[in-house]
Amino acid sequence: MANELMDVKALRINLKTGDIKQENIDMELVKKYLGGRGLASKILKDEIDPKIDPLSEANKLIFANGLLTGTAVPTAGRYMVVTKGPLTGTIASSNSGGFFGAELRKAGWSLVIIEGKAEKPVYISIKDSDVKINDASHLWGKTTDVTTDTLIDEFGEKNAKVACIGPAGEKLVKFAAIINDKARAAGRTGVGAVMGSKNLKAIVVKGSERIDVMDKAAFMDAVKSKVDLIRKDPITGDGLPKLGTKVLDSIINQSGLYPTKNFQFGTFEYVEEVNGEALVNKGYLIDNKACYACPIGCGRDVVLPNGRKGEGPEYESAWAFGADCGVKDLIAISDANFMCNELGLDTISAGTTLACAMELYEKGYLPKEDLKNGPELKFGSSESLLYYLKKIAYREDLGDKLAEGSYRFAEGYGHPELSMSVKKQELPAYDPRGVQGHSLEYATSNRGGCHVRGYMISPEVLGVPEKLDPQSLEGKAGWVKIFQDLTAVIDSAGLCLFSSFALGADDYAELINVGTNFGLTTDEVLKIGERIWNLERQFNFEAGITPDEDKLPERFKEPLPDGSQKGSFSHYEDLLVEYYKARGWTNDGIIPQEKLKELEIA
Amino acid sequence: MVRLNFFTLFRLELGIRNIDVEIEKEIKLSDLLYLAEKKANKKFVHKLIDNNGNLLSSAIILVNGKNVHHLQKLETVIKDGDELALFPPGGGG
Repeated sequence: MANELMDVKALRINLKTGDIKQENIDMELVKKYLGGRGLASKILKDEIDPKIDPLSEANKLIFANGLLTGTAVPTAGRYMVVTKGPLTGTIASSNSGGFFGAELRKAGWSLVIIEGKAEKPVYISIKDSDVKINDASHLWGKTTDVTTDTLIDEFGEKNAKVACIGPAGEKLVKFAAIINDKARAAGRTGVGAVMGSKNLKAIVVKGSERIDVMDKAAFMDAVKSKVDLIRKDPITGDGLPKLGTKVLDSIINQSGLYPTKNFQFGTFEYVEEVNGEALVNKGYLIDNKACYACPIGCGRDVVLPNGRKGEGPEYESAWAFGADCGVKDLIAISDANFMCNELGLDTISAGTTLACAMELYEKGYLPKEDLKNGPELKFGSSESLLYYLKKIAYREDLGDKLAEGSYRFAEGYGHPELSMSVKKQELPAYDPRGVQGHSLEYATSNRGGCHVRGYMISPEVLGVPEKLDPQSLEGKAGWVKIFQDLTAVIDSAGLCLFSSFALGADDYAELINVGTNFGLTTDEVLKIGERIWNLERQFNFEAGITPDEDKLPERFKEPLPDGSQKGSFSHYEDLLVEYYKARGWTNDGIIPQEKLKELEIA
Repeated sequence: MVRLNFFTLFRLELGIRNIDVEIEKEIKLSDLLYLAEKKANKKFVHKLIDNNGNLLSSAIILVNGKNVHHLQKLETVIKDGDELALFPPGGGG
């Protein structure tokens, strides 16, 4: 079968009826939404009532490749899982790399739309156009590594790729992840719980067709020029390959933005024990690892002195179990990360939820008897990390409450203000008090607390594409809008956000155009991003998430007590109206009908 | 004395955590960096300053915690007792 880039196909699988259908996606729709996050969000919004219970049968779960996923474009290995999320109640899209997405595209599929709920556990097997729903009762309860190995073995294709859930997804933990290639995670927003609610354990795929483009020579020229840019850039060509994302620990700690002990402080006194340099100097790092078509190779291959091995920890994961929980034991931190991959848990939400529980415990709001003889939840306790992660994944004892995420957990103990979350999703590893643009981005993210919807750390701390004063408010609303829109484009093209350290909007427009006949200007490409952003926002609004929820925890109105940003606090509220205005929304943050029409959403 | 602390790739590739430089009077940052490079006997300034002598936007140099991009960049005046943190361009997420 021919596999053309301009031939976008969806598999629609109803797990209740067993129906499997093939659909061709209208290319006009692709021109408006590209693929991945954008296209799947459009389909989800068209097909489900935003008010439904995310864990009900009515929800849909869409695996969505970006437009360029599976091609030779550098970093084109990304896919998105789009659904209504159980943690936030917002539209949820969670992005992952590795090789699964590219393999799915090589099998001919840009989208897999999962509907209904299977009566008993099943997995889906895809070998090009041969698609089956299979019994998965022997896999239920298994960790993701065992599930992956078993399925590849049973499928009889040693190069097949697997995306699956672990026990956490089966138990509907609200921050359960979908894990592909054993160590790559569609981690955030609880997409694993939606997969579990459908009794879908895994998808195994093998594709055999390379993707053809119309003008192969021009396409490969563009690919080569972007690979060169990525290789020559000091961040993507030097820092990330050598130190991975953990290049950030020292930068962010020295900048006073390294959230410590549930965001009570901005620096961690034991950072030298746990930073990226320590991972190398202690001899745990064995090699770096790349996803599909990636010239960067930021992944980490790690072996611990206790014999445990795996990928990571990444900056965010190591921070969540490290500084945020006050833990300085890099072995336990790395082990916690491996455990999350095996159990199928989002590391950021897991670590931040434990950090929240530690603060509740130390302040006396969480009674000792609720720990059911488990280790004391004190900051710095590496023992408690490993113990409670398992409890969360299996929803045992206190783990059952922790599995609801930090907001519901803290609310249950009468102190929701101690949950460091936005729209009930836990915040990642940058204290917003010291970075005003990033603070606004946290407050307005369409999927709740998140750093990868408009990574303002890049200009405000890292100086890319230019260095902005992190404390200045001037122009920040506009910057956040453009970063959010461009990120939606990158996500929908199927590329890794890290490519944006070296590439700009013009480069992405060139890559999209050279593979298609779209002929889009850079402004038109950014308009696609704006369309996607507004569509997601409108979904959330119709789901009952009002602009009142564009807010940060009260803690960030208090000054940072330590570090180089001591005394700073978040001014995001002063930026909100300017941001709404930049977006063409009302002063109350509502998208007017004219704007929806202008963007061809309504 | 001024202390320069090295982080991330600087630390791994130069093999030094910090060096102390004695200064007799206030000194411009750019002069201090070249002085430190000479003392360390290891090249690192090229990862912070481009061929035209400009500070790279993604170079991170903190003087007492403040990023020199928001002070006077390479003209920033360094005084006895100041502490610097130096990072080559870095990023992740």
